[in-house]
Amino acid sequence: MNAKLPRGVSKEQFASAMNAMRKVVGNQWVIVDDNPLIAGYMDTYSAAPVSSTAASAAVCPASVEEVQQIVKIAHSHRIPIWSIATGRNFAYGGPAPRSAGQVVLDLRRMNRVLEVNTELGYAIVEPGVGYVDFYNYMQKHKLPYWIDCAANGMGGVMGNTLDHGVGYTAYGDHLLMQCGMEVVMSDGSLMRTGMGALPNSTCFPLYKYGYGPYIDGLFTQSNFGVVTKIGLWLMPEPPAFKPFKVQFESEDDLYQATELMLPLKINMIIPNAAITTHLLWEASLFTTKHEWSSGPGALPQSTLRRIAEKFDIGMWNFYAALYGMPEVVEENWKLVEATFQKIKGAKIILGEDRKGDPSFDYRARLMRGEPNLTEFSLLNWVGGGGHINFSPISPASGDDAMKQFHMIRQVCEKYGFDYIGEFVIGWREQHHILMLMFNRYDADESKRAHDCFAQLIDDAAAQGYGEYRTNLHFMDAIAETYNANDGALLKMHRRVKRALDPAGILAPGKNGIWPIGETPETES
Amino acid sequence: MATALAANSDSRAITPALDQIRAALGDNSVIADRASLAKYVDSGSLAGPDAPLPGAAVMPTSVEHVRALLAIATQHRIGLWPLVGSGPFAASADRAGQLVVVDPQRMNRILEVNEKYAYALVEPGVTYAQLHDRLRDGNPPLWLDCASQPSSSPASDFVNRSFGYTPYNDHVIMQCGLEAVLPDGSLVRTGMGAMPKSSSWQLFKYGYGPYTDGSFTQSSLGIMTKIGIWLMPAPPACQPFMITIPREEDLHAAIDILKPLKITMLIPNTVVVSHLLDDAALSAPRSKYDSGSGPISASAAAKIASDTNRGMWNIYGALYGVPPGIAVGWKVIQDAFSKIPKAGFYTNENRKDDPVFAYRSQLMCGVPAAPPSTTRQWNAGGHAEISQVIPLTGAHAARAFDLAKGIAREHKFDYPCSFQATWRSAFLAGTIPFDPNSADDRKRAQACAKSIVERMAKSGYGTVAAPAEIAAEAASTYSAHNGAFWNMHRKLKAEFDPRDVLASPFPLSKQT
Amino acid sequence: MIVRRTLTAAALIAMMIVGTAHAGDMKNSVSHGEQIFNTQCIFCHGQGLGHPAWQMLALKKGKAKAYIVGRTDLTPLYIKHVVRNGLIEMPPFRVSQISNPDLDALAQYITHPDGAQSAK
Repeated sequence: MNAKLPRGVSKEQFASAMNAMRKVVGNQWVIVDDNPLIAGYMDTYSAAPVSSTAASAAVCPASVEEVQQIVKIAHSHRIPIWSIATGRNFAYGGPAPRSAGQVVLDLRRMNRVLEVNTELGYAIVEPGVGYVDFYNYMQKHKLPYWIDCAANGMGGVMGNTLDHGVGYTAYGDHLLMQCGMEVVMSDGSLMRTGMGALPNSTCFPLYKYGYGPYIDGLFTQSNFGVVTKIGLWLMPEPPAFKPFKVQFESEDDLYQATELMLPLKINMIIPNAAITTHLLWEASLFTTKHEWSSGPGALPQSTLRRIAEKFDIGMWNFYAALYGMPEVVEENWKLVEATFQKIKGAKIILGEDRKGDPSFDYRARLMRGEPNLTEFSLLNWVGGGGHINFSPISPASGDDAMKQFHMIRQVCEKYGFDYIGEFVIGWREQHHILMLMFNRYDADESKRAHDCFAQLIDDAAAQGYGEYRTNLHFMDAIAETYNANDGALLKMHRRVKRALDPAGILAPGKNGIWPIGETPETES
Repeated sequence: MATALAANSDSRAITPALDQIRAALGDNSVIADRASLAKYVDSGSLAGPDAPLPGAAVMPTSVEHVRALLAIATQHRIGLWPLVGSGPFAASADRAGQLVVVDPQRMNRILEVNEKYAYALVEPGVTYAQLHDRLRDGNPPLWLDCASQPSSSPASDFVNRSFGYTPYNDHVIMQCGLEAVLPDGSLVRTGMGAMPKSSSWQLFKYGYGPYTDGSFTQSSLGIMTKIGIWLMPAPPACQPFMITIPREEDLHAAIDILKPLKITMLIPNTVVVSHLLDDAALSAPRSKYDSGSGPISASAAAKIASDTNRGMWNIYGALYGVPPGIAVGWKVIQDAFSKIPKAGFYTNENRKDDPVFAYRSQLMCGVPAAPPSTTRQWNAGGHAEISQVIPLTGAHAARAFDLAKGIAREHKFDYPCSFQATWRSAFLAGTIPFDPNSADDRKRAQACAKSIVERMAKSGYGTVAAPAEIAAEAASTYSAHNGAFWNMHRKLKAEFDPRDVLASPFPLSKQT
Repeated sequence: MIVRRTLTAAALIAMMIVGTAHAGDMKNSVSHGEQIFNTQCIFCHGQGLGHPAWQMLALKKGKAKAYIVGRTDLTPLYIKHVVRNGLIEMPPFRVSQISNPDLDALAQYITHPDGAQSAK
């Protein structure tokens, strides 16, 4: 019998719902929590106890029709269901639900690439299509388009897009390149957005906006429906591609590098995400903390310098690429070179300079849409696997970069953690990604990581910095920081929730959106 | 009828409401005389010169005014028609008098122009002309992407989702952060605007949680009071070009040649493939060539082509960036289109005295501009403008054009139109030119417009812009899954605007 | 406090129920297992730096044991337990990602003595 139940759901109600769901998907695809396979739904990497987000069950439908039926059953039985796509959203909660007892709706079995159109450069995919699946599909059929993947190659196309994830090619803004959605609404009915609302439309994956309000964004980082298909645009393989790296000698170079980079980004000389990554992010591909220190606390500057020298890594390391016609790439390259030569000691590196260097190699692969998991070498830095990402948004300015870097490093060091971060410049802003690494088998260290993260949220908010995405355990805390005008935007989200999911069964608590009247569940 | 307001709105309520509005917003903020109200309706619309007038118009100057207006409208159960949001006023005779237009012209402050990050934050009444004046002396120079006239506004282009002609053509993509008042008076800032003290409101679109800005387009979720837009920094060079295609039947080949040039973004801006008549309508009234009615004669069309040195199709685009790249791009384009018999290739170098090319060139190079003439003036002032969206392939373009032109011919109209290619699709934007003073013409034009909407939809081409008078018909074609799309909007409307205070040509409320 | 994971009785039973391939199917099973390895595991467990699991195992067990394919000291049962439950840095894999038959084949492949030669 189930040990856990969704909040407010009786054993009988739950058992009846599970039985009904078994009839839809088959016995083996309803996994309740006395089945050891439920272990797959843990939030493996969080700083909080896994029990606080342990699912009561998981249901794995294989088709849209099955999803509709499951949602109808959840609706009639008032069972909260937390939908996941590939469920590899590590650092943000993985496959686990927001709170203990929720039922995971696992869409991984719906893993078909439904269409790739080479004439017009688009694809339509199901929720479970992982980047590796998608990449292999493109390779197998020798299609002249790239995919754009996250650094976590095990992630998936749809889940990442819906969580406002970004990639590394010129098509890195995944939501921007998304076109057309199919959604199962909370009553089990089906809706298509944009041109998909027109029967027999020729333009479902071709024109984003349709007629009437443009609503695809409503279904991202939210819980207003269960998305079962998305269309996306694919980047044609460019005639020329030139990935490069620039290493900077001093931590203070971040200021000038950011200032010089912004015009290259705004003018789209560099069309992909421009990344400036700190020493330790790179170093973890070659070494572990253990080799440099046996004691607690962050590594001192002197050690960082020795690591930089030993592995020939900059204190900051900039990665980007140029894409397009060879003549244009060469012309733009002159500009890029001249720009970075302004920074004293900057070392400009191309692929031929770094044959066999796994850090350059994996970045170059990401910038041409080739999935890998090299970045997970970060997990080896302290060992023990724990990691959560703190990811505030700021203007792409030198001042903001330095201010954030110092502020966040100070908090990290106070709690005994190394600063391992990178800045990612998009259109006009930068995402600052802190990888907070800890040993998840060490309860004290996990607690410190949790507390460190909580303080970072508050300190960042005090400076006007808000996070773009977060781990399950901090969804409410971050939602609360977006509280201008008496929390008007979050109130609006909650009203959309009430209108579209009046029973409040879909992913309660996702990004702070609880059904009106329901209070956030406290952490156990 | 889609233009309807809440059925329970009482026409007698408007006078006390207006008194209260005057008290709250100032006497001169209300327009109630018929002569002044006439400017809010389009005498060239399908409703004709006797199109019903709104009960009044109000001109708020601040967010507080907008809030007061919503509170008064709610209390008195009158309807508001925000021009930025619902578009030009159009309502049926039994409703129009109970509706109050919200005219944003006095909310016209340019709140910020940021040169470092290349954006502007403006109020909804700010026009392109106004913003252009402000940007003119900037360093670096920043461009504007104007979809229609210098007198139109970034706010209306965003809410209407109009596409302009530079690489920043997609106004939904290039919008970042907005502020709106919801019907209950709550003031919402989207994206990073919800974070107190954030300096990234105009820098990052998505914020935290759902991305909701699109829900304010072609919608009546709230009244928009501020909008952030990204501005394109002037590139090192901009080279507009024009390619003339003499034969109408070469459309198919032309679009197929264009397709990879667009998908690879070799041509990064909106490419206009303009039919001879569409270009002609931008340069002179029809009477210059043909004094008859009905479709223009072949001989007159031939004369237009030779007088204006145009093909039956005329392709406009531009290249941007460093000059060596532009030179390579232009060579690729010429090689590709040379496959079409007698294609003509032009740039500013060899096409200096063409006012239509000059006008389009300005738009493509970031300068708001007005055409020498308009489709409205082509034929007696009547104009029903309709757009479908089609896949960017030659076969679809030819099929859609033949279908639309054929329907127009059946109704004895020409169909001046152009294809406007953006990402992976193209708009087929056409105009039914009619005489608004002729009841017969209006009736035929309306029937023609409806027929185009319906028959194009049956062929898989959805209408994405239509006159307000047939908005409901256009919306009803989006009927997949038992009308799930509009059902969803009715649920949102019931939550946010249960009294239907905000009117819209779209069937968003439960009453429609 | 350091928590160590152990095989639970329930997990063991579950894996026995899953069953293993017949000897005659072994060759097919191994080559199918290789496919699974190459789509699900190789990004972490491939050889050389840049493959996080190889890197960690090289540190802990030495380079000779860092590449898990062909490790005859590992049993299929152990592989299956680790895949389903995760291990330290490694996340668990759900049955919706790797089905039980696929997991059988994968475990056969990894623990097969020829594995190290078959994958270069």
